[in-house]
Amino acid sequence: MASGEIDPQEAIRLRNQELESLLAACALNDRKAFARLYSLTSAKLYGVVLRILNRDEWAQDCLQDAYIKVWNNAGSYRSYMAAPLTWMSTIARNQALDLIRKRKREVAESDDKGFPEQVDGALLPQDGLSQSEQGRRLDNCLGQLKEQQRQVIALAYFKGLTHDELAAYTDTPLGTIKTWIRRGLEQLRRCLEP
Amino acid sequence: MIPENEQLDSNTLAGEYVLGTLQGQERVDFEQRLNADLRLQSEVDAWQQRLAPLLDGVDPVAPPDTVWERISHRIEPDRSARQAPGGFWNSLSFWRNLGMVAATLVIALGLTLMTARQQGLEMDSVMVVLNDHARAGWVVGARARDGFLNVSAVEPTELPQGKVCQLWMEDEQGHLIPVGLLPHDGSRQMRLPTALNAGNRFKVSVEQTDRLPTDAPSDEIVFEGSLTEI
Repeated sequence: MASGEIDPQEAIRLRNQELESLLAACALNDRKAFARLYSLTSAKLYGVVLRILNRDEWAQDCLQDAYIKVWNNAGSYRSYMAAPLTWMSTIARNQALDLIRKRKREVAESDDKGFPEQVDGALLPQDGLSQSEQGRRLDNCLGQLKEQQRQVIALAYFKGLTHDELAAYTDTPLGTIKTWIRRGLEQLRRCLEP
Repeated sequence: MIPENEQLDSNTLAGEYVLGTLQGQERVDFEQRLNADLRLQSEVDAWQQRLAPLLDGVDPVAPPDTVWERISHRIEPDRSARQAPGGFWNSLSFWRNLGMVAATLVIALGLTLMTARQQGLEMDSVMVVLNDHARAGWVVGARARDGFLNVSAVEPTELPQGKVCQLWMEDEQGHLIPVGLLPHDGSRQMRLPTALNAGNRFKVSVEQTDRLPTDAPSDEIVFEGSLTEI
């Protein structure tokens, strides 16, 4: 490393520290802190909801709802549970999947064939999830799964596809899909055990 | 191939819940179990953490400015009302607080009833659990004939790490029976441990997350109240 360059781990630690204190300030109704938090994190969270929803309009509505949740729940953030950006990204993902489930129910009621829509192929990044220690470990454990298992897990995680939809999308029997997922999850859990 | 009737262990179910493949009635059933089952809650948390690094790999995309404008507009009316001159924390005016209690109560009840109605769950009685600032912390709605409570967080009390608010129901003999943990956010359904009578009292205690009592509150009671018919 060249002298004067910041160690990437140190940069992550400093960023987490700032995000944690911004969340703490949000819990005390500090709107300026919330604006700063938004400016630092919104591109990440927008990327997450856009990846899941694919449509700008839905993603923007969803991003709004996700930040309202962050604002309302900032006081319940616990740093020992998850890094701040992980916590916020998970809120954004859950919000997006809730929206997908809601749309599916509406579509089912109206007989309109709106879902599942096109799914882009590369859901997992080619160069791995190497930003953090946990990312490297998960990357390594995912690498030990069969290609199809990795694919269905990524499709479910990022697209909210159900067992039936995964079976149709990958042209695989339903029972096989269920087995891939269950065994895949069990393998992942064992592999990630400390 | 796994036979259809094979019992899935709760950990894998928690994984499927977080992954999103647990859907429909299975998902509803699982969420009901989740309300009362602390071990299941920690399994769900663990899965959220295990899989969250998947989100690390997502490239950031700058959202349009209009999103922030709409967010900041949405948080304004709600929170600016709390900003008393001289700062919220210094405002100890009894009347001001009383006014705010009434206002948050109306909002809280409105929200709870609305959510309950959307889910087709008409509540027949409610109770507001006050937080440490004597404002509406949680709203508890009950549907006696189905034997469950719907508990929604409004402005929950902020607790130190490792602490949690536990809800208890007093039976006819005056024994306290644990009902569940008050959520930090969102709403949860909890089963009533015994049939509901008009006079049942409810209490809230602060407990250690890793040492939840099942027979009696281990620490002080921070709230006490009963349901009111609506």
